[in-house]
Amino acid sequence: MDIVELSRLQFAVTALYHFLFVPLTLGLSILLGIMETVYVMTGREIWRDMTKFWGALFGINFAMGVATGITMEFQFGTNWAYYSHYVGDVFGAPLAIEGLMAFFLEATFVGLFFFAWNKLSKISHLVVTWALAIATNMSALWILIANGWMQFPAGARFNADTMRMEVSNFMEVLFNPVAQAKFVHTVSAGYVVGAVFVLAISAYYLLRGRHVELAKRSMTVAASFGLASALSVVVLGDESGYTAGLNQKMKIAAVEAMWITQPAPASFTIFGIPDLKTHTTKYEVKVPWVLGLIATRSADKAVPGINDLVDLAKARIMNGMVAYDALAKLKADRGNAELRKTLDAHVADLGYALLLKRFRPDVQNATPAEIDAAAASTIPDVPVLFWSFRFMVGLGFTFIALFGVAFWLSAQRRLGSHRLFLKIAFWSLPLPWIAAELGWIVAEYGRQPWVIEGVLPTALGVSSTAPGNVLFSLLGFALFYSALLVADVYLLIKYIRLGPDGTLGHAVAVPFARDPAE
Amino acid sequence: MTSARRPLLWREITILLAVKVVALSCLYFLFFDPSHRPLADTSAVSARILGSDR
Repeated sequence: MDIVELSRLQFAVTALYHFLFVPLTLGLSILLGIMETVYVMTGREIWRDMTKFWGALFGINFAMGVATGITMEFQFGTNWAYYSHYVGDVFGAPLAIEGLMAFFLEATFVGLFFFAWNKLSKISHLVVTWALAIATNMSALWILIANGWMQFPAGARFNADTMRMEVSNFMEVLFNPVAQAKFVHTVSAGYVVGAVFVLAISAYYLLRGRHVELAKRSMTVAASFGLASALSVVVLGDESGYTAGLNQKMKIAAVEAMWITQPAPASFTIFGIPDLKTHTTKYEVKVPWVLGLIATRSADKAVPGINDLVDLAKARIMNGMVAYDALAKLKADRGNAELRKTLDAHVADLGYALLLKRFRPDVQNATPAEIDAAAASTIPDVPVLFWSFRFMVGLGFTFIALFGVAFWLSAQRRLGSHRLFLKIAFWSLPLPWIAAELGWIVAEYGRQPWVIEGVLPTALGVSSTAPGNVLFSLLGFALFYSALLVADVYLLIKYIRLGPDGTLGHAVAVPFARDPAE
Repeated sequence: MTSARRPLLWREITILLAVKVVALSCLYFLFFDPSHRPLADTSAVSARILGSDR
């Protein structure tokens, strides 16, 4: 493996691992707020104990999330130094704000949440819990603004003197439609993870007849919150698909394994076997209209296929070669206004010319065969995207069904007694994590070969360091993260087995009168 | 926490901080000191993209 593949693998491993913890933190933080709100409104002690118990599990997960997130920020400097220089002026600000949110705001409220139960009034502690939830979600907002800019680099322009992208309109960076759609979709997915976690652990208690009062109330909260979140994930995922349809047409075409542009409105392929060699998809099962409606929100706009997008990339590469030539000459003749004008006219496609760097150093002299090869390199890994997306969507609808049944059983007051559903709920525990990881695979693998869509090819962003260094740190991460995973799973299982009574050090308060969630 | 336990706590905190300082120093010297720092300024980016900064 070369330095590019090793650096990508290291970032992928650490990012996917980090995202095992993030969505649970996002989801549990809101659930804690809901539970404590019920406690403050009703005064029933059991709701305070529920907040404390789920809060203990939240704490274990939160610590792991912070620890695994830090290493990713370091990688931008160690493994992606050229990337950091090229886009640091834009990417650096949201990343820094995310760091400040995570370390200062979240950490402060986490401390107050755990240690100020007996020092703050009920209302003040409730404010702290909601502030923790908001800070956690705001932290996600900033990292997704940074990531959204990688998918759709709005509000920035190339500066030939500094050789980097610089912010031209911070509001466009902030209100980037791709980032906004990703944010709401991602946090909703986090809420589903939190809800499934509470549902599954509560089902475990009910199946064993332990902590019944706490588990029944927890399941009721998880059922309603989870149903709303699961519906939101699908609706907001549709929004995410629409923004990708506008700005990342190759990603959409690859996700659909759609090689040829279909007449509007395009069909959605439920099943098929993409063939990279023949540029066809075998044994397709299609649903008419659906893709056209998702990707264009219309019945008369076509969704371009991969082959047409490759032709478009070819044209942009040739246009970018003009920009590249002007930039190269401008470096030797910095005051030449004519060259600067030529660069400005073609700079939007400069990134496409950089795709040729894989094939030859003097990009402006590329042959037609090299241009064809560079254009073909804009096709991401179609089968991986095709199947990742379908499993993710399938799981998304599974969660709607799971929470729909949970909500219905809750309304019927049968949630605690339906053993088949309790077993299904328990064994559903890993599913939302699988869906979340598949979502990131679609988002990031689908962006290849770009690290910044249309601006910077991934291969040009890596540091000029020895592959051995990256391999060594990758092995280090694998060992360290495996140890952390063992510790995390051990602690979670330990406190889940201990249950609320053992975790809190006292028997959970059981109300004498029935309350609405029973 | 009893007062008899307090001196032990301070000793634990001191040992923990010392271990952290040593661990972070090792990480710095192994991976982050200037000799390990990949150079990526305007000239380096020009050289990678254009072949030279001139």
